[in-house]
Amino acid sequence: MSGSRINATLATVTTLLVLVGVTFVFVVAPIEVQMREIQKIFYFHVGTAWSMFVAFTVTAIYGIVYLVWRKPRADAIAAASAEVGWVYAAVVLLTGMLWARSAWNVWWNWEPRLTSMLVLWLMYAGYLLFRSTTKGDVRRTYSSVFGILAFVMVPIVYYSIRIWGSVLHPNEETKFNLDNRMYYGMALGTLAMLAAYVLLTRLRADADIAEQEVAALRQEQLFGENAEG
Amino acid sequence: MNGGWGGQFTRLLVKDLGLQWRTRDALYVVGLFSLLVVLVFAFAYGPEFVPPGLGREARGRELAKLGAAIFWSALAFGAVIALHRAGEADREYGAISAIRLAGVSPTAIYFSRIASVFIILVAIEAALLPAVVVFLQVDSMTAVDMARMAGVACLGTLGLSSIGAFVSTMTASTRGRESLLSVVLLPLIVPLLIAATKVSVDIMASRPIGDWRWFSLLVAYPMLTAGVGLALFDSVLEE
Repeated sequence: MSGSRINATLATVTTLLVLVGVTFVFVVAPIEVQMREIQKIFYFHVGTAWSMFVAFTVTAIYGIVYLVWRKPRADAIAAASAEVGWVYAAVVLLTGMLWARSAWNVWWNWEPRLTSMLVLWLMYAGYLLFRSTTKGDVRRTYSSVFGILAFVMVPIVYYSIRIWGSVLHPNEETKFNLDNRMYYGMALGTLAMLAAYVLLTRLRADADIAEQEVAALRQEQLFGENAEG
Repeated sequence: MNGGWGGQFTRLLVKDLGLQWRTRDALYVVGLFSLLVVLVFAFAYGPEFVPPGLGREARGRELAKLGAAIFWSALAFGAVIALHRAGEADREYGAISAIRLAGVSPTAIYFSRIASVFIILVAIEAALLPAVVVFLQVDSMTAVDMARMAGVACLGTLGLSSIGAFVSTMTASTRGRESLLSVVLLPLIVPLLIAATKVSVDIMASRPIGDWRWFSLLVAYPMLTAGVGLALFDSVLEE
């Protein structure tokens, strides 16, 4: 299957998952007793958070792949994944804040998960900024290295609740005591966000590669075939 | 370059420190800047803001919170400038490439950079800590507390230098080096800063360390990042 066919299929799957997910969440999933409709944020919040973890893991893995095999494609995927992951992280923070406002009457609380999550978001903001100020091989190598370095924060965010305890975020047991319909809603939300992540990352990586090819062609046209850099 | 790993490390360290010592301006700039940060915080949120009428112990605790937070903030900002200065000398005239061509091991370069930044920052801390104690009235500290604080400061500084030496080598070859370094470095050292501050609050309030999880993070986080740095420093130098 060609790249564009895969993307078209992915786009269809994503759309379907989002539609089914939204319908399920608003029609089938029960309304939570305490938080009422606001609790629906949870399905998107959790799904986006999981996909964000996947995104940053992919960035680190493809960073290693680039450093070992030096394939520009690996770097493009790592960068695209970080970009989408960063946007997802912003969504996680924002939906979390909406939740916080209605559940605890504050927009922000300096508890371990929120604090580490904000730091993570800032680290990848640094990654993207770092990438935009460099070019060529330097950019590929350094951003791969940086993607691996920033990944150190991911387990800290994940385990922050277990290490420092949290009054606001649930631990593992609560998650498995959910109403079945809520559980399916969460699974659907996660799948939809994950499918969107794969699609966006593929599109972004393709655009990055195309951009580099155009730049190379332009270079060739201007300076002849053997010109480089 | 002749000599084993130890010889290379020592010579690079002597070279780094020698360069800094010859002009000494980095030392003065970073020292004065860190002191100014302490003063700015003291003006903005100094001991007067601790509510009156607190008992001696509660007041000491509040002042310790202020002192620890301001000490580490000042050091973090100072470290950004120190690291920038440290990378600048090697970048100019492509000195770092020359060092590489001389066959110096990358780990020797990395560790000597960590060591030189560490020594400079510790020298600055030696002046900064008394300033914090005086200006923020964290004066319940005994000699033993001072020694504990020095230990924690060294640990935190080791972390700062190990992450910083790595990141500053990368940012040295980019556009907008100085501002980029701070934007990239500060989020990376936040976990370290939080841990160091939490531990320092207890010490400045003359209490035993209450929560060892922060101390573990203070030790583990720099080890983790230095491990990544060690594994990848070679690739960074290649570019």
